[in-house]
Parts: sequence; structure tokens; C-alpha cells
Amino acid sequence: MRSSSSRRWQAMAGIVAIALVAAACGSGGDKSSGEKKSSGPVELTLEDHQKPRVELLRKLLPKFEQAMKAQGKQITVKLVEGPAEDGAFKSKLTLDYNSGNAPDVTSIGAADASSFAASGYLLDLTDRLNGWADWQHFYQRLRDEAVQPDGKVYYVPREATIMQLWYRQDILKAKGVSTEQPKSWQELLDRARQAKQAVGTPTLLFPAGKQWGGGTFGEGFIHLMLGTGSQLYDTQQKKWVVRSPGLTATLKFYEQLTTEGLLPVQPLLNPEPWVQPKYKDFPAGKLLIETCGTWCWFFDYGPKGSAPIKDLTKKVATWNFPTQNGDGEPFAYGATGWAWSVTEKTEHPDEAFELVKWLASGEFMAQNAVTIGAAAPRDDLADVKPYSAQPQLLEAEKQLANARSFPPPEGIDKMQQVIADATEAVISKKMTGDQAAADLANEAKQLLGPEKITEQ
Amino acid sequence: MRPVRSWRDALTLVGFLTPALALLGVFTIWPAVWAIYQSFTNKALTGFEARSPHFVGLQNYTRLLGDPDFHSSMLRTFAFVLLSAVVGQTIFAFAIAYLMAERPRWRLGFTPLFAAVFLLPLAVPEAVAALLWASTANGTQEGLLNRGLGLVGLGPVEWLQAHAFETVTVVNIWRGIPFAMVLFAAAIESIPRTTLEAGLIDGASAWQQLRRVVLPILRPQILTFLMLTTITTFGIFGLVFFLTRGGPGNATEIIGIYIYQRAFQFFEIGLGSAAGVLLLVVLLVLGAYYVWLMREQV
Repeated sequence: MRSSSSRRWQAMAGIVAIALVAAACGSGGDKSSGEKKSSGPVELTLEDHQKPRVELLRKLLPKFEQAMKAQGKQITVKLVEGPAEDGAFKSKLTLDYNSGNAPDVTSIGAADASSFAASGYLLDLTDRLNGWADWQHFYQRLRDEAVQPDGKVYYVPREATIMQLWYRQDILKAKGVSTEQPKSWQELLDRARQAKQAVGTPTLLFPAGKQWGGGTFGEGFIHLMLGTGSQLYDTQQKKWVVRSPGLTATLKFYEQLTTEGLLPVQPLLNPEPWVQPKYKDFPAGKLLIETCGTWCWFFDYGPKGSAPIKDLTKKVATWNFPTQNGDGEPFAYGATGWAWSVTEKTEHPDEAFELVKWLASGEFMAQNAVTIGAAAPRDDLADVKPYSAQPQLLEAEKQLANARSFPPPEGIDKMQQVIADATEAVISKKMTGDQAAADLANEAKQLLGPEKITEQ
Repeated sequence: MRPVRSWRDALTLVGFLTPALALLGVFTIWPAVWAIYQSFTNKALTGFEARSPHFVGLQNYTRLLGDPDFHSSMLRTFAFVLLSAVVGQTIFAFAIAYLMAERPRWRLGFTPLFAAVFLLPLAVPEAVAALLWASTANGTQEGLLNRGLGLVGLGPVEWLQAHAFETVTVVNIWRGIPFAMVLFAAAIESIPRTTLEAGLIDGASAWQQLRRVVLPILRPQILTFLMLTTITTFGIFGLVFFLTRGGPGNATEIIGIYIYQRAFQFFEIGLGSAAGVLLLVVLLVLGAYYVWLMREQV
């Protein structure tokens, strides 16, 4: 009798536990993709990061709401501020997307678009963009690069980033080092060697290692790789080229920088590796040549930047990136930096696209470009204030026509990881450039899968 | 123990057990089972694998076992646990608790003041503790430690760059001392005074009293603390991540940071889960060993 009663209670307890677990697991319905809700007041969510960008949005978004009101639409925007650091922001966005809780509209790095799109996180904007007259004003190369391998477009460029070599012309000239455009890696190394002899510290910075995150690839490695003549991605085979003469040469260049003491290695191994070289050594005139983008005119070295340099335009000038052997013109890197995208699961796709259009045009874009230090990604902003009053940005915009770039294909996040590992192995002297190149090919094969890689 | 005899007994039993079991099931057992399942897939947060993950068998485990970063991370974690928790926290906390405990022929003045000072690290949130140490161990002349060294004409030392592992080990000792101290102090206080007095009457020196009387009596509490601190230290993430992010290089990449980076920076959930499962296995083995040691107690 006791045994039967005990079994009954055990069964009951089991049912209660299963019900609780089922209730916990079953809660939280999934939003259907791009499903449109009935008309009426709509609150959109918009996520961005970094104080200047967020403050600008906070200041100008009421104008969007007023504009919508004038069109008879009741759309309000709730602004969500993400972590300031790019890597942390990307992590948060990724988790938000994966959990189905991403805001309607987000600022994403264009380099991440292919991964996000392949994951099914972003709304296909192709038809909407084709029906938007302003889309034709975006530079052709940026529009082309926005097209993903599936032939669709998932983002609208927010800014064009032009990256070059920045150098302290005041100090180089004072020390008798040539400030003429270096045409080959050898000429660049010669400048860096002479500069090191003059100031006694590492003088040339190409971001490297794991601590710099995606910047190792986007702010360092790719500017060398694009000057080698080797492909990193075979667009016809749709495969990553994980072993090539250019890739090996690039890693050997890092090796040379390291062995000759031209690269500030120790800071690159620390958390926030940019702080010491970019915010301390470059303004102090110890580091004399570095890779930097248009944002540096404002974010980094402008009067309100992280490390202001007085009389910046007199003290600092830019070179284009030299090619490996001096064949071909030195080049600037030009591509979409950050972009606007709509989450695939938004319940208000039309309203979200209205917001994207507003963010990607006229007054907002001109102010955005000046706030974050970017060239305009479209051809009709040169006369719009305050952008029209920024000669460095206007000059950078002109570079777009002849700039080189690397539209990141799917798998870029894994390739960034592989490059970070390889460069760290080289700068920490665990491997030579040749060894790191071989190791890179193996790691890439493991991470990307043998069907997505090739060798040249 | 009274057996369940009636509906009322059964209802009471279920009523008391269900909340705890449900919480344990939903927040501990289920995530662990889910992690084990994910560890056999190529689940990722980005890319095609995010959209359609599939079963990959033992691929994640073979990758981990062939990954030198994983090996070095595990070894580093063992060293970190051994030095900071098993040795550092235990010895320092026991010494402090023993010195502050009132015993026959021993009474330390200002004990409440000392106790308050030593308990402070427990009252500080983890992120604040990390910020505090980031400032204290700042590698410039402005860092507190370097100011101290500067007074005697030394330094500055780049604590978190040149001696990162040693520094985070010390920080974790500092962080773990209060809890251990409270536990040991309560245990020492529970030793009958007559037992200690008997030792003294028999002519035991202070060292003999500690070694022959106090430590054997406190063995269960010491082993319990060792088990707790081993498990929690293996799982440490925030304190080290906030200070060094695993750097410089891989110098402080303990297993918690390794797993975080694979799962949430490189978005390889399958691989991160596999590393988590291996960590779980290690902790289960260590936990079983401690339990076995406790059964051996006299």
C-alpha cells in the first residue's frame, strides 16, 4: 500500500517538474520574420554605440519623428546605446540577433554584414533600395560592395572610411627623414629605420595580434595584403586563399618589423592595445608612422578627440599605402565603414526602412560624417553643411574613386581570427613569417572547412 | 527520518522539494544537458552554421585536444587555482583567522578592526575590485604600487604587462581571503576551549598545538573550503578578464576566458560548449576526489 502511494507521488512530482520545465521552455514566442503589424502608432528601436554617435542621434531623432508626423505617420524611435568598444558592440548585437531580440534598426560594421546576412539576421533591402531614388547617389563602388554573395543588399552605407598611413611630418622633416610618398615596402621600411635611428623608439605601427580584435585585419593586415598582388579571396571559386606568396610576404613583413624593433610589440599584446601607441606615443612624437582612417581627424587627434594634437594638420600628413615591390600606384583603402541595417525579425519593416532612409540622407548624414570623421558615401553631400566645411573629409572622399578595398565575404570573422593568431605568433617571435603562413593555412582549413579554402 | 505515510506527508514533501528541484533543473541541469548537446554540433552565432547547425560528432573535442591554446589555457588554470586558491587563499586566510581567534594564552587586540579590514574585499563588487586593481597595478608612475616603489627609488614596474599572471594571482588571493577567513574563524571558534587547554597542559608548543590539535580537528572544514574554492576559481572569468582580457599574449588566458572568446568573440558556440563540458568533467573529478578525501577523515 505504502509502495503504491509512494509511486503515485513520485509520478505526480515528475509531472509537475515536466510541466514547469515545459512552461519555462515554451515561453517567449518567436517574432515572425518581417511580419508587418497593423497601422497605428509605431515605436521603433534603434541601436548604436559610442557617445558622439549616440548623442547626435539623440539630438536629431526628434526631427525624424516630426517629419513622419508631417506625413501623417506616428513613428517614435527608442534609442538603445550599446557598449562603446567595437568588439563588445558586435558581440552584443550578435547575441541580440541570435536571441531574436535585436532592435529594428542597428548600426553594423559593413565588414560584418556578410556574416550577419548569411546567418539570416538582416532584412533584405534590395527591392526597397531599388525603389529609392537616393540610392543612385551612393558611390557605385560602395553599392557594388554592398551586394552580398546571394545577390541581395542588406545595408545602407552610413559612412565611407578612407584609411592611409599617417605620419608626423613635423618630426620626420626635423630629423631629415624624407616625407615623400614611399612606393614600396622597402622604401617604407627605410623611412621607419631612419626615424627609429633619430628618435630611438619603434616608429611604425601596423596593428597585429589578438588583442586588437578585428582591427588587426581591417586596420593593419589588409593594407599590406592588398599591395602584394595576391588574392585573399577568390571571387570566382568563392573560396578563401589561405596560402599565397602575398600572404607569406605580408607575414614576413611583420617579422621584419619585429626583428628590427620597428613595431611597438609590447603594447600590441596588452588589452586595449591602441591606447599606448595611438593615444600616447603618436601624439608625443615617439611613434611616427601608423595606419589610420578619416576618423582620426576627429575621434583620435581632433580638439575633442581622445588624444588631441595641437595644429594637427601642420604636424600630421598622410601617405597612401605602398605596394610590396613598388609596382602599381600607392593606394588608399576606401570602403563602407559603418552601415545601417534592419533586423530580419522586425515587425515594422516599412517604418524601419523609412528611418534608414532618413539616417542615410541630407542633414543627418552630413552631421554624422563630421561627428565621426568620415567621408560621405554619396556624391551629393559636398555642399551640405557642416560637411562642406571639412577639407580633410572632402579630400578623402575624392580618394574613393581610386581606392582599393576588400569586400568581406562570408567567413570573414573566422579569417580575422586566423590572421590575428598568425600575426601574434610572429610579433611574439613564436614563429617566423614562413612558419606562421603554414600554420595560418592549417588553422583556416580547420575553421572554415576544406571546401571553403584554396591555395595559390 | 520519518517515512512518507499519508497524502499530507507527500504534499508537504513535494511542496518543499519542487521549487528547489525546478530551479536546479531549469538553471543548472538543463543548461548542462544543452551544453553537452551543443558540444556535438557546429552551432555558431554567425555564418551559415548559425542558420543550420548540424551534428559533427566529436569534431569539437578533437579540435580542442589538438589546440595548443586550449592545452596552455588548462595548464595555466591549474596553476592559477593551485597558487591563488589552494595555496594562497587557504594559507593566508587560515593564518589571519588563527591569529585573530581567541585561544588559551592568546588574544589579539583590535580584532574587530582587523576583521573589518580583511572583510572589505568581500564587500566590493567584482567589476569594482578589478577597476581598483587596474588603478593600483597601473604600470606608470601614477599606479599605487609604483608610487610605493618610487619612495624607495625603484620602479616603475608594468605589473599587468610584465608580471600579469603573478599579479592576477595575487588579486585573486586578495579577493578570496575574506570568505575563507570567515569560514575558518567560525571553525576555530567551534573548537572546545578545553581541548586546546589540554594540549597546553600536556606541554604542546604553539606549533605542535596547531599541527597536532587544531588542523586535524578542522580537516573537514578545510577540505570543504578547498572544494568550494577549487570549483569557483576554475570558473573565474570577470576578475581576470576586466584586468587583462587574457593578455598580454595568452599570459592570463585562463579557461573561463578561453571559453568566452571561443563562444562570444569568435561565436563558435559548439566549440565553446565542448570546452565547457571538458571543464565540467575536470571539476567533477576534482569534486569526487575532495569528497573521497572527506570520507577518509578521522
